[in-house]
Amino acid sequence: MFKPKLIQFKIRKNRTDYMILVLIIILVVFGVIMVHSASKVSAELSYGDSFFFTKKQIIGAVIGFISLIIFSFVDYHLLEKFKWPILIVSIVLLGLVFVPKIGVENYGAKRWLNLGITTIQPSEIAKFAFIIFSASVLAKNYNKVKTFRGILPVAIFGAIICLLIILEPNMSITMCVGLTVVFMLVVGGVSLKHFLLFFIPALALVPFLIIIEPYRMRRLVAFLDPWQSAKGEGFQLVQSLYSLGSGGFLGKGLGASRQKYLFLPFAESDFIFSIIGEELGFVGALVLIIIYAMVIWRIIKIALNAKDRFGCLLATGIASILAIQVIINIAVVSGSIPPTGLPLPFISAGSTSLVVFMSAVGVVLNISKQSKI
Amino acid sequence: MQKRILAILLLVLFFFVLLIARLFYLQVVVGVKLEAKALSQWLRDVPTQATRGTITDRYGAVLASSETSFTIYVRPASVISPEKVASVIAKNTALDESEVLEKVNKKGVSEIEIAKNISHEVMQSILKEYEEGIIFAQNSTRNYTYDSLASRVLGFIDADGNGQTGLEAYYNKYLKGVNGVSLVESNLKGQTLENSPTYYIDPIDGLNIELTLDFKIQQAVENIILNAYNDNGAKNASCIVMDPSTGEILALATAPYFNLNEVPRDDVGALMDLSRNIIISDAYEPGSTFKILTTAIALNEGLTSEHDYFYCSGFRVVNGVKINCHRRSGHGSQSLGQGLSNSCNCVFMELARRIGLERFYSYLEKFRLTEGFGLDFFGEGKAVTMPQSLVTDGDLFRMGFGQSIAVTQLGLINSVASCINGGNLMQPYFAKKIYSNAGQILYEKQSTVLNKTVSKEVSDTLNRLLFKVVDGGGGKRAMVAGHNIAGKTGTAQKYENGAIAEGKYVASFIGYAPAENPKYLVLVTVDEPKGAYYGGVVSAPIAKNVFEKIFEIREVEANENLEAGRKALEANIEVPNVIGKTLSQASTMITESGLTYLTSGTGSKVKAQIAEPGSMAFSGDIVLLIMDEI
Repeated sequence: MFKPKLIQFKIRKNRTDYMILVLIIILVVFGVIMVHSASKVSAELSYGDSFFFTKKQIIGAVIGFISLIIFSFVDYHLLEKFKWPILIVSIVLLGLVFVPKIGVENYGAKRWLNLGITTIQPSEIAKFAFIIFSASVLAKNYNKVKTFRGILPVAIFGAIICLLIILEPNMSITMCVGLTVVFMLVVGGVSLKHFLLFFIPALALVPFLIIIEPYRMRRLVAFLDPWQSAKGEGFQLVQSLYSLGSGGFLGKGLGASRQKYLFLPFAESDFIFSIIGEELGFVGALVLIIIYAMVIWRIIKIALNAKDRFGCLLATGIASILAIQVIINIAVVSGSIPPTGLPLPFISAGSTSLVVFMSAVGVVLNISKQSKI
Repeated sequence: MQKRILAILLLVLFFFVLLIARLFYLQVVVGVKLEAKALSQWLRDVPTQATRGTITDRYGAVLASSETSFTIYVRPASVISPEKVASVIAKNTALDESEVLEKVNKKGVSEIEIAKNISHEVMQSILKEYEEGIIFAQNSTRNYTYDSLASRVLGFIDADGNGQTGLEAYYNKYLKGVNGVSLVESNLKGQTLENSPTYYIDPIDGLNIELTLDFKIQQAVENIILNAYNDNGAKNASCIVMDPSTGEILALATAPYFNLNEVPRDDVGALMDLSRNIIISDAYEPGSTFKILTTAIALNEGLTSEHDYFYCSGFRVVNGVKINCHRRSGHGSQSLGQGLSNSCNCVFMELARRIGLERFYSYLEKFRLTEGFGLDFFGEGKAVTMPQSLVTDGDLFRMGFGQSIAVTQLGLINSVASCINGGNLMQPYFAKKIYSNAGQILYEKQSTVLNKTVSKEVSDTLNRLLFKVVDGGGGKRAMVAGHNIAGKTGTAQKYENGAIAEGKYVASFIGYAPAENPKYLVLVTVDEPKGAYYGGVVSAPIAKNVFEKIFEIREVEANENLEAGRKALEANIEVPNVIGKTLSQASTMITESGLTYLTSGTGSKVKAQIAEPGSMAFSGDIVLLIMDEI
């Protein structure tokens, strides 16, 4: 197992949670394998290179790992200090996607920034920036949390970020950030009255957002009966169900997916869980979910043992966003909620998400390193 | 705060459990069903229709056959690599690669035909190196060698390759074969996966059928019948030729015909009329041809004999109703044979009376007229008879000469066959053999005796009597020189809406050769001829033409020594004048001229003669010499 001597040398009272590190390395390596398995057919056809997505994922994993190590050494209180620059930069990045030539439009949505060598998804960064910001505000304003003014900055910047992301448009990450805002407020100690004051209008916005975009409505209808439009709007969901269903209890075996032969769109990214379910069966899917549960449990444990309120809220926020994304992603591919595009953390192809999540794990490790017990 | 964090953790775990339950449902509970649905998109079906079986006549002449070939199309919009598509096709079809490439690169067409008449093997080898954009279409064509030959017998197939009428319909399940299955694993775009197995089940080609039909006789009959149909301006004209000893149908045709290769499908009603097999399906009042059966029944029951005599005054009054003979002046006294020759209704009224209703009806059953013979053909008609309880004497007497009863032409000819072949009611049939392409015989029809109808003696007697009908009687126009032909004419008035239809007749003739050992039984029926309408005038000459063709085709030599070897239709012998001559002189003169004589009375000189001196007589005709002493 990986055991960096450097850390042991520098920190006397080292309480770093290596279990999380092990679990994350398992997830990332497994992710690279599954991205390759799921994408080799479409990559070969589209790019003439069956390792096209695999290579990108490996690069993402390497950068992510470096980032993880860096963040695990950086005192997380530094993040608190830089919360404003972090927040402003991420909001600027979110705004930049609307600038022509810098912003990249794909599938009708402007979600990416072109950095020349690669593209990044600012919304992935923004959600963590928001966690840092809100954890800090809620920790500092602990005494005022019960007042309206105490939670106002969290609410305002949460709303700004949500607004920018929904304009891209990206409903799924918006919902993800929205739910994170809710979780942060709840954990931060907000009163039930204030909570409802935010939660109900936010909830009321969802049907409105669905109605203004016709494709969302169609997706909703397709979700209710995907077989009705199995060749149209319901195609992706039906294909995903075929994947999961044909996997059965034990799966077809690693690499043996039939659905990856172009039948299942986004097999390597948002719908990678279906391919996992197809190749490794219910058993494989179950083991994966258990690993996620263990990771979330470890992060929550770190939150509970954190040195201070900021560390606790920061870790809880990271655990929340991880849990929310895992739940929404699996719920979508299993046809439990209307389809929306959200990557499966650590596994789906997509370097930004991978690097940001791994960095967050680095932060968590640093929190654990400084924990009370 | 701790409580809230733990609450959120519990909420998350709760959702995890829900998702696990959902996945369990999808993957374990309904997984197999989902996979079954998914299978259809993973596998690409390649057409592998079975080739329909061939239909031949009894000597193997092909009457209907099918060809299966494939056409290669390219859908330019789906092509990924035009060069690969062109090279795969060119390599397997020996087409010029650059020409194929030119076609593949054509813009603005959805599909373009590349090669026609591609064999199954070539298609299979292209499939192995399949490139996206290539499409196969299977073409199955049914070819009827002689266009309209036996059109109402063979029938035709529909667009799906299923027999719609005739033998194509009856033997469809044998002819059709079993379509094969060829599945290859493919991706969404239809490209075959690497190293994927091909699930291939060969189609089983349809079985072939050898018919009892003799296509040469069928062809000859059709020509003759078509002429008869045209010459008589008839509604239709039919002829059936069968082997009375076996039940094999050698030819069966009803004019008008239609081209099986270009089935006139535009007018469905007209097509129904054209394709219906009238001979097999439609019951009609047969008229005098039915008298053969009446005679056979009466003979078999010992109710009459060759030496029985009857008197005809031109009519008979039954329960106060007068039933006429066709000769109003009457036939006078006549033997049973003369009654048949003259087709005298009074004779058969008397026979019907002797037979009685119950016995008559039991014979209809014996002849299977009311039940059918189980011919291998859809829509075999049955006799239409009055309910036995409603039959009056008048009805029974009419039935005696073939009215007030309707039978199919097949019913008539096959029951007559049993009366002349020694008494065996044979099952008529079309299919002799069903065999595979490999030559394996899977079914061979054996001649089947359905019933014993009359005794051998009755059969022999009938042959003698019916020979006389053609030999100078009402059927003499059917006579072919050098052959013993027996038969009976029939002229039936048609009924429409329960009343006699003025001027509408069915003229028929049933005959067979050789009379002493029947091999060819022929029924000719002309429905509603214009002009002459007597069976003996209209149909007997048609039957003669048919017999001549049969003898020619089957190389049946004419026997000049036969008693019947006379110039049949021409009464070309001048009757010599022997009045005043001695018997021996008269005998020499008459015999030398080719006639025969009978004497009446005694004495040495001939006082008078019938026929008149100088009149024309048929060869072998009898001259009655009346001697000077009585």
